[in-house]
Amino acid sequence: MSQVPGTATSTAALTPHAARSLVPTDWRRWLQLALAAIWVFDGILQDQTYMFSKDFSVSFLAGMAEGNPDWIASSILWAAHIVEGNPVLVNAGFATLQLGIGLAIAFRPTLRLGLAVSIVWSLGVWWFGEGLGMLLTGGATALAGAPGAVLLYAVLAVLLWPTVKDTSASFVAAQPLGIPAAKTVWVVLWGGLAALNLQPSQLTADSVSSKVSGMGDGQPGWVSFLINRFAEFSDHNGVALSIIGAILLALVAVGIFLPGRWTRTVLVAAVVVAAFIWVIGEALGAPFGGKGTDVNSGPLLALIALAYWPTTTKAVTTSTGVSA
Amino acid sequence: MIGPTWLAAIFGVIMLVAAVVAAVRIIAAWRAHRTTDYQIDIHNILMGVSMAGMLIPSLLIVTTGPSTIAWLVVWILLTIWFAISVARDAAQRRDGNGFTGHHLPHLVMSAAMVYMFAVLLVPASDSSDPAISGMPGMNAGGGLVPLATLDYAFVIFVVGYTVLVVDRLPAIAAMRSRDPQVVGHGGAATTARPLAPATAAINNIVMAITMGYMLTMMFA
Repeated sequence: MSQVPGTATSTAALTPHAARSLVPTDWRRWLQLALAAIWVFDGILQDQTYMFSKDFSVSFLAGMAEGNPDWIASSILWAAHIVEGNPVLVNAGFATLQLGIGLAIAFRPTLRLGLAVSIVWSLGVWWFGEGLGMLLTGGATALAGAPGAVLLYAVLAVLLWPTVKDTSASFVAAQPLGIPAAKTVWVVLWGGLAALNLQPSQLTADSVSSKVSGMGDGQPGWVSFLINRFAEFSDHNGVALSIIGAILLALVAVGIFLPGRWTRTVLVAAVVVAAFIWVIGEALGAPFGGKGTDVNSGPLLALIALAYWPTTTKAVTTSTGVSA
Repeated sequence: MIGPTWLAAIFGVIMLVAAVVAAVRIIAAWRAHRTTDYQIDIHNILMGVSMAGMLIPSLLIVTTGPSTIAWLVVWILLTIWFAISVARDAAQRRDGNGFTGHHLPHLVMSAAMVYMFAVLLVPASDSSDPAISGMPGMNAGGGLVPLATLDYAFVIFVVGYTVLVVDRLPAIAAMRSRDPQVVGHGGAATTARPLAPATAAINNIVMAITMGYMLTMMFA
């Protein structure tokens, strides 16, 4: 019997105590590992053939400039030009960095380094690679991935930072920030998503169907089926659906202030909304086809919700002396 | 499942190194009277070699129909073997034999190897040789890989497995200094120190990342 799952070590019977010491001991660590896994996956996605082509910078990256103010668009085009100059070397760097961030977060001694680098990298990509999540174009919505998936990596890195500022905090996100600041982050995020649904461009008959139509192309059959059915349903119902979505997102935003089990209900609703966005609006991140760059915002919104889940566990110091 | 040729070659070489490391572990454990999980080491040798063969076709390990079928059979047998091991581990846990069970990740990875080899045998639209041109991403006709959701699920698993093992590396490395463990299943008990557990863990991490890479390249 191995001492650690999946490692070829002694076949001795490990004592239950020793075995438990090898398992993450708190909820925050599990969330950090989930974030690390997403980063590792993103690094692997960056290794796809298309990412090493000039078309990635010419079409994909430069395309993010469209609709943005001139001062943002010009900076995006500048960055795309740099990538276009040496796409293989630059993209290899991107992929290695993202993989490295994931492994650094997963490896406890380098946890803080990984999170810190992820914040800097995320903010840079949010600007130059996602056009600030297209928030200034007037067309960004939660269903389309707003506020930009990569920004949520930075938010998660902060919420999961291994510092316990408030030892009385009953949820992970409040440990590094304190409860008031953590709840402010929640309200800004979900309230902001609600506000995006009420933009004039979203209050049209086809505002919802136009966003999801075609998203299922090239994806697994069941995903395409669900997306296409929703697209048919939402056709000509964009106004109502946008308003309903805004109300739902606003309820999630303010629901964080509710007591006890109502908070859990709100968090479950947030996870359900995130799952809906991920499947219907983002086709599971649209990985099939060779051009997916990340899992998109759905899983990250769900992780953020889980960081607010009421828990009695606290951050612990591991055998390496690193508080995770 | 190759992606850029130069990158596939790098991963292929890494897989050959991983296979050699696993083989060395078996020899070193036997000679030094240290303990290792021979099942997993053998699994890693086979996985390293077969993945290298897929990543570097010029190695001629996995390039013909018969060899692909042979590897598929090997991986089906290994999957069955590890399924039995997982069941055995579960039975020992129920009997209160402390922590058991490290074969589940290798069961899943063996199943993933079955999947990859099975996909290799799917005929491509532009070639009569399924083993070579049937590689996803090299099919001129394009189209989704068979059982795409399963492919995605395998990727999620190996990526999750990777970070879990990385998380445990400091504790695994610390195990070298611990007292020798009692070994043996029902036979005479002996004491022996585990052989380089951190090396084994790193080997598994590298293989999992490479498998994640190959499965992700099948998305195209």
